[in-house]
Amino acid sequence: MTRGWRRLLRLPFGRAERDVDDEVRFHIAERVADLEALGESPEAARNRALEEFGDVDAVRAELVEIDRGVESKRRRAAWWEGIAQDARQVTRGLLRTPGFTVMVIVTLALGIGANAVVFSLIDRLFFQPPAGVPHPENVRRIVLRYTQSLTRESTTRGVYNYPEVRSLAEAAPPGVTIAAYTPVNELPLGRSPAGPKVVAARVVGDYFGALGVRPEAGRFFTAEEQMPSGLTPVAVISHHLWERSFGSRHDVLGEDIEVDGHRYTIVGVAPERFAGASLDATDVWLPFNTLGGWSTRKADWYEAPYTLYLRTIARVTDDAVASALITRATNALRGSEVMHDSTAVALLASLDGAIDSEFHAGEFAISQRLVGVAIMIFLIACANVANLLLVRALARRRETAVRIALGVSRRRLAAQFMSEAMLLAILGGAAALLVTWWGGALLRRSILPGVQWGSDGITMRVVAFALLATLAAGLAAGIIPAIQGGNLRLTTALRGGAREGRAVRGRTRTTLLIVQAALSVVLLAGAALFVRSLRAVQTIDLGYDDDRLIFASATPAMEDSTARRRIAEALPSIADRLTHLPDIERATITPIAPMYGISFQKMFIPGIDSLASIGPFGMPVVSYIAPDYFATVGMSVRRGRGFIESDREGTELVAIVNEKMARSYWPKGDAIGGCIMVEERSAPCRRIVGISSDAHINGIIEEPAPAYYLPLAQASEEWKRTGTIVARARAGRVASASATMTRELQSAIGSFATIEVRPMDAALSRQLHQWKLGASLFSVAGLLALLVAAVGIYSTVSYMVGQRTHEIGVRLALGARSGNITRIVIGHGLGIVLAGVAIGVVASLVMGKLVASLLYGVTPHDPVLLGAVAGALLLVAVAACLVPAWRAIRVDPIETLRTE
Amino acid sequence: MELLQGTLDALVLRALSWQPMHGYAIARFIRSGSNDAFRIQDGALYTSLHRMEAKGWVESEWGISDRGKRAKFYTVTAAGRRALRAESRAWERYVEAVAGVMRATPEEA
Repeated sequence: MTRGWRRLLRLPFGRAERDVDDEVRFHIAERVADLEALGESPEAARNRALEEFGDVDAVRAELVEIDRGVESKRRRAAWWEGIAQDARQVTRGLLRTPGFTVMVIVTLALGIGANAVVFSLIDRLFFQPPAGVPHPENVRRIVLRYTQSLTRESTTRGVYNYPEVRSLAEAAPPGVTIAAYTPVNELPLGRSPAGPKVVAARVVGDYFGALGVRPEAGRFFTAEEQMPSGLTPVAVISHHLWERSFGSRHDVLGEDIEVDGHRYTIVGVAPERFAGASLDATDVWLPFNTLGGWSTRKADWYEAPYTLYLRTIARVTDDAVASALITRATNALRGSEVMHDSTAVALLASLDGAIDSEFHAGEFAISQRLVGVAIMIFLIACANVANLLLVRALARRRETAVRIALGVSRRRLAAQFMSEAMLLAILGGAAALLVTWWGGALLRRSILPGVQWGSDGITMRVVAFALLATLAAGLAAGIIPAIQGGNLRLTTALRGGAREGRAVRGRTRTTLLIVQAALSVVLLAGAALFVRSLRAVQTIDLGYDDDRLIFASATPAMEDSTARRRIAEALPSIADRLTHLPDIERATITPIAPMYGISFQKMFIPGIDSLASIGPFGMPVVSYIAPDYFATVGMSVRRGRGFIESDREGTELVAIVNEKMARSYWPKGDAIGGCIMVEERSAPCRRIVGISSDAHINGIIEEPAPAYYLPLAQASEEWKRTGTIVARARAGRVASASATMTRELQSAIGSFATIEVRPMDAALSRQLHQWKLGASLFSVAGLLALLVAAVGIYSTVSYMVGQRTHEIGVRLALGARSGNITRIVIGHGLGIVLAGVAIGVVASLVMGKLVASLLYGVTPHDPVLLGAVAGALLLVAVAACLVPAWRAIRVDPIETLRTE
Repeated sequence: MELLQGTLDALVLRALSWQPMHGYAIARFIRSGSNDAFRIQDGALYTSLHRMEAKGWVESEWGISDRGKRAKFYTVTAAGRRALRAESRAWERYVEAVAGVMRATPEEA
């Protein structure tokens, strides 16, 4: 470094060097003068003086260093003193106006808190791997991308059926572990369905090995225990369940755990923190073959395509192996029996939460939209606080002017405005952590109740985020008052009027208010859209009397064939008995109740070579029903006849198709009398005798699916061996009818069967969850925005009234009526809000596209809806103006005129 | 005679306890007060002054010397006076102890 540079860098400390030089020079000069006075020659005197001083350069350097230390210490002290002084002054100011302070802190706490809550949610859902997986980067999900043959759309799926998983495992290059797992299921622990529940998942292959997890105790599943042919009922339990239900006993291995009425031998305990690869925390893992083994249908699960819900993971530690895996997996999936699709490409995705979204698609989509909502709330809060600070600064202009006149620097004043905003932001941020704490818990519980959230949500990342948001809020809210406060025009401010310079500041405040109003409109419109969607979904006609139906099912408490047979034999007589009980109108039996599952069978129609893939499921749905089924569920026979008692074994084989199926395959309207064959092309013809109404089979939101119905009495033995009782309660008596049914079933078969009685509403409520969620979250956001906007309008209009007291006084003195004054005040508020509403409506139209996919039965550009939202905001604006208006008409003209 | 750092500080504070002085005046005071007995480098004097300023024992201010030159004057602060008192007491105890031993005669055992 050159000397020049050094000097430049030390610029603020240059004085220390100069002072030291001057001091030393003075000393030498004095000494020389004294010595010369004693008669020494100038040269000798100088030499002696220098000698007495010692090493001048070294001393000089030391002195400079000491002085620099002193200087910087002083600077720091002064800086802290300044801060402390500002803080004292700001605190005094804030304490003088507690209402203002609390309002600002609450507003900021909501703005910052809403963001921190959503951040914690999104962070966990999309950016964190499952808890307890040691090296998540070594585990990949296998995802399949292909082009849909009908729509030509590129589609991704992350789920596979068992045959696909098996071919993936066979195709995997050496060194790669392939495993798969089912989505979790909440199952009763023990025999009683009303008892405690566990969350269970079934796994294929070396699931734990693929995730790199080692057992806490015992072992995981062996290959033999997972063979398709065998059934060894074994289970691995989570550390959490081990603590909760087994008191962390070490002799738990070898004991039995009873899940959903079946006994499993515990062979291992998973390590602490590990709760499965899916977002939902798992308590029990079972081999996948326990699914097929217990099934009453043929144990065909290992070759049937219907297990299309297995998520597949691969342990890959090497990039070269990873690309080999991609190639081989792609080939394996293209060749698989189910896929047969040359467009299929296998991809490897990270283990982090995102891909799990398929199961909670609606909830995930809502979470993403919440980011936008949170940002809007943040902006509204900042705009509002900036506005409040501006109004406050204006109210103190005279005080500020006096301080400037007394010599306080404008920079210092600006700094003070900034520190006021910062202090408020920090207080708001602290309060926001509280909001995050319980708001976060509330949000996580309501969005995805079963998810393993790990910590309580406030991680270091969340705190860091909240801190950043706090600083941003402080800056955003403080910058405008700081600039404007520093630029105060001294003379006008001191002269007393607040008239000059108002245009500029008024414009800033108006703009902030317009922004607030516009954002509020957007959020309110969002809320309205989601509420309307929920309404629309709730009023969908499913084709059933769904508010009156109750389903009851029974599974053997212990696995033996006699129990299953005894249940199957008992159900018809129980159903029959139920119809004679109070509160129950009808009861019938069908293998699988609607909304609880769907069945397919291969089906052929003479004259049609290959049936085009139709409907939401690709092929018609089959249901085996008794003659009174339609009457019980509330469907109707549109043409032809329903089933009758004489449609039984030995009589003519018959079938009923629904309207959708009739239209699809018999477009000429000649379905009745037509013929369908099931299972095989050579099967006997089943003559179509009737056409039924359409009904939703599996979901609330579902395009009508083609379906056909066959008499249960003409079904094969397998179908007859399963059963659900479908009962129709008298209107409004669902609860008591459910209780009656539980009692009845319990006393009849409770000794050997596990009984589950659920109203259809319960099945529907799960599907309604995402709609209710969207409606409630957006409503809360919208109301919040509205509240904050109301505060903003109120404070601005109040200020306006304060400023125009004189003018109002004059008007009143000149005979203006209170109505006129009210009109002026409200007009002022409304004028601003109207502009905001107009912008907000346009913004809603644009942003509506972002939520359109989450809506049902309502469009984002619904004029009635937008009009209602605009009206609501204007109404709130009027309400917010009422108090200032009331204050305005109570202005005493004499008093005002006298003061000026 | 060489001087310990603490002692030099005490001498400087003592000098300043009469009136604010610039560095050269302090050097003169010590030189005449000790009859030139101490071999103090003038540079060490300034190091002592600046260190004490950093400690808050003295304060400095630029002024005009009696010969009309610009000079840096030092003043003792309250903390400096306290330090001087402590140093003086310690010094007196030391002197008395040494003197006591010097005056003492051996006692009968």
